[in-house]
Amino acid sequence: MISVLRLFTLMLLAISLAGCGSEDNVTAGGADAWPDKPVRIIIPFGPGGLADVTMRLAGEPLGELLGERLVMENRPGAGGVAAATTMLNADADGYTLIVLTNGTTITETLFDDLPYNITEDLVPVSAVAWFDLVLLVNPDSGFTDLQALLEARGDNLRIATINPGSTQNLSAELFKSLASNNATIIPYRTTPDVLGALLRGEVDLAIDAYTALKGAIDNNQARPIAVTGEVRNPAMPDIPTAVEAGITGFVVTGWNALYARTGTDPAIIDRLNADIASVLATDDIRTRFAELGVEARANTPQEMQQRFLSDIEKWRRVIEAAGIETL
Amino acid sequence: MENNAPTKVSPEDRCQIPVPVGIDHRIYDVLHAVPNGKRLTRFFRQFLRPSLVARLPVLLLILIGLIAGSIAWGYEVGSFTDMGPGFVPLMLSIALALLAALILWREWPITRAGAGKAAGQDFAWRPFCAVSGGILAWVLLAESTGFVVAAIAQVVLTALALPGPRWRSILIMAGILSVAGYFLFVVQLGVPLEAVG
Amino acid sequence: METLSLLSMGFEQALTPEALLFCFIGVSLGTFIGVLPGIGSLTTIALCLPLTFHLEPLLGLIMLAGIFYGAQYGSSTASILLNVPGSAPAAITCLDGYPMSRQGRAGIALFITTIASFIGGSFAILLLIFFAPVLAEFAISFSAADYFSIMLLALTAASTLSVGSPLKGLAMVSLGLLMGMVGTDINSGQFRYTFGIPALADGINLVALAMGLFGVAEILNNLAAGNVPQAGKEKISFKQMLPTPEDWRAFRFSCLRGSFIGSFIGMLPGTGPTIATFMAYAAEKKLSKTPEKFGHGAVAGISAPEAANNASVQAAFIPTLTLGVPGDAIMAVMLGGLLIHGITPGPQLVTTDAALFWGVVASFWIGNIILLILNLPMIGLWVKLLSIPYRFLFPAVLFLICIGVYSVNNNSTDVLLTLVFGIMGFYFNRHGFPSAPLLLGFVLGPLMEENFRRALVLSDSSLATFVDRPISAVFLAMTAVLLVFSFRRKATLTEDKVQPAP
Repeated sequence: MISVLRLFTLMLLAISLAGCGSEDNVTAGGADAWPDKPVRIIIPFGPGGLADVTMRLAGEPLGELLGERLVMENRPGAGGVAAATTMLNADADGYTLIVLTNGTTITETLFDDLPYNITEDLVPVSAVAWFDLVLLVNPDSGFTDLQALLEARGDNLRIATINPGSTQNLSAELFKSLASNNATIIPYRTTPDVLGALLRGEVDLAIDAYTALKGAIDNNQARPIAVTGEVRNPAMPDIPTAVEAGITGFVVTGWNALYARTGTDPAIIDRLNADIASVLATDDIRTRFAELGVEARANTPQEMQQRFLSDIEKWRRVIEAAGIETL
Repeated sequence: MENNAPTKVSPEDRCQIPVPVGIDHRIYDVLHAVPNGKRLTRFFRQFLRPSLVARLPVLLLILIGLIAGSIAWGYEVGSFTDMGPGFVPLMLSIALALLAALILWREWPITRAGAGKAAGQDFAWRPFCAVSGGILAWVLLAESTGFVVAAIAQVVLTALALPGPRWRSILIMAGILSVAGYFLFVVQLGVPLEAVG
Repeated sequence: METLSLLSMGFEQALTPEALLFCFIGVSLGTFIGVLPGIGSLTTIALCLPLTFHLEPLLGLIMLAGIFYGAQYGSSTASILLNVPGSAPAAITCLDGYPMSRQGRAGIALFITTIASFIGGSFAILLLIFFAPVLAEFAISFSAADYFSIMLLALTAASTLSVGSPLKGLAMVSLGLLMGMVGTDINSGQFRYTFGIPALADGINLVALAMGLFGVAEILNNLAAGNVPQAGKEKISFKQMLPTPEDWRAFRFSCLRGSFIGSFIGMLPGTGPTIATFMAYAAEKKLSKTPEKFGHGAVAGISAPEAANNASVQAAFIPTLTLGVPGDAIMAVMLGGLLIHGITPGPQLVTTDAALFWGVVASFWIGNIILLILNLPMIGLWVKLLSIPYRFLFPAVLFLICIGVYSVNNNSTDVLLTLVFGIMGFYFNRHGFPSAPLLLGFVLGPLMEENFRRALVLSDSSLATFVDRPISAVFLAMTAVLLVFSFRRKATLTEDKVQPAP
């Protein structure tokens, strides 16, 4: 009886030790005290998602610059609460950072009773990635012009997005209020479902992140007719912005940014900011991000803070106008 | 899993819903128990409590259905072809409450022996507390004091479910599981928990 | 034929030493994870994803896929031996696998499930190889109304899942459906039954529910009843593992049916192996000439779900690889892995990156063979696990459940929920309310509602859409037939019983 137990435990140990040996121990370099051990980066999404992928891509060269490994920790959960709670339990020593996205600014309004206050508890370090959304139609539909589509469909316009409360969905609400007041927004669970709906012709228009549907666009499964950024997307220079296409005021740009705890030594934040900026300026990162349809661009903590606050306000107005319930 | 509350009638093999035959003798008791306090308590202990306990699961289901239904009513209900968020929850709550009520009616006739048996069955406190305590310990300790501490606490507490003085083997097992588990789950697979602290 | 030459190119890729190595690692890890209750393939793949960033895309994908379908081989092991499912879809295997084990036929049960898994997987791979583009187009054409009708059929079949009082089974289905409502309503954004707890805004975690209802409840049940499962000191010889000829007969067609159902459900985006296994089980029970055997060790009760399990998991690759539309959450994670390498899956993947596509497909088949070779001898080892005294076994199982459930979302609340559901399951089971229907209701509920409402929105509130669409009409008809069939059966039973005994 004991022998079977031992055998089993030995098996467990064998498998685990095999992995143990492959762990690399990067020793600290540089004169600064910080960092001298791996830095945790909390990601409020599951692995494979955009925030996760961009952070991992940037994390490698950043880790080399800092001289310490960056350890990604995925803590998905509604409203980013799980991630934020973990973050708040950490010390303000610069060894725990968190990725916030424009989705966080939406959550601020959607969830009334959050156990934390982002503007008080966290300080921005730098933005990392910027991406805009795309308005897509079925390639067989014959529409190449947003205005033409709006005129043709009028109040029967059907827009597909992912679930309510997401940036995409709220953008659709914003679009609806700015362009065509009686369109029907049909939410789906995931981007592939949105794509499926478009392919089936169930909907006329789909609004989603460029990254998520880049494959579909390249495969000619969906045709973009407008982008939501302030300027045209370099990957699709022929596609006008929504503003150019006639929907004044419809500008939506998503972003990922790194944040630290309030009270972190400003020197650490400055160092991080500088390193991130240099990493994001390298050709390698810029190209890899561009492949994903994302723009790599850093900014200063002050700029980030401003952007954060203005986004909260923007989405608050959209949520109220659309009458979406808050928790 | 066995049904531990035996019923007098088993209507499964009949198509129509049976009228509960055989009025419960205990109701007769009730009528005679009222003026007399001692009989009242006896009535409570021997009849009301066992029969409530025996029927508790069904009553719970009815209760859940009613509460869920009232909450659902607060969400916009809408109509069948234009459902609001409250429509389906409301329908489901009603369905649950009705089904549970139906089960209650079908299984209403309970012999005194049956009810007594159902209540008399000792609730297994020791395993219940041990398992609950163990898992609760894990929940509370895992993120604050680390994987190893939580694992040891959990294994030790749950192992107490079965009687017998076996401290050495329990502690050895706790040690092996926590260490091996740490290497497998935290180191190898990357679950974000500290070892200690 | 072109396909065959492409396939042989794929095999060339997949048979290189590195590819074989990673395939082996993937499937072994997958099987191991599958056996452990709680921790599932999604978590493992997510955790291993970073490791693949430094590998060639083909190798990374082979390994991750190996974990994915490997886990389905292992997940029935714990179900059969301990009545604790290795993962949510394996909960169904508990129903007949565990009784078989109690009858001393654990070795046979494990053997059957391994073979069934292989057949199911191979069936789906064949579909993938020869019909992928056609099937993918077919799968993507399914609209909300069609999904709803399929779910309705599944739900109707759920009434067969209860051993014992059908009313109690139905009540559990309703409870499960209701519990599925917790979370955010997809069609309106309304938070339902969340009581202001953000953790519930995503709904109740399926793994927590399954592990609680089937794992913790089972352990509580064993401990409370005092009849701790006896340690058997048997050594299983190969001969003892072989099923009887009678078993083989039950096995043959149930396995094929399971593969078929599993592949069909698997290739539809958004449905998972859990639904596939439940439907396969229900189908077997309805079609069987001896339905009363189900729940007490019927061979078809484990072979069909296991085949369906593996078939659905392999078939999920069909829309993923050919259309770039992931079949489920795990596929989405793998797609993320591909994206990092700069590869975008989609129709062009098959043509422009044919080497990758066919290499992966070939590795599926190799992986399944490796799993077969790997798992058969391990049966003896697993059965030996039964000889560990229960008092050592159950804390270990609870330990695995705790860490397993935690690892899904790195959230301790999930583990707490597991305990709550465990107590709930334990309590209700004692009074004759079965857990399996609850799980099915929970999985189906939100999907059914979402699709029903969306179908109505798409058709401008016209109910006719459910009958107009051919696929939906077919499934609705099947549901109607099923209902009539069940009532007829009940009526016949009634007539028999009412006649006075001679």
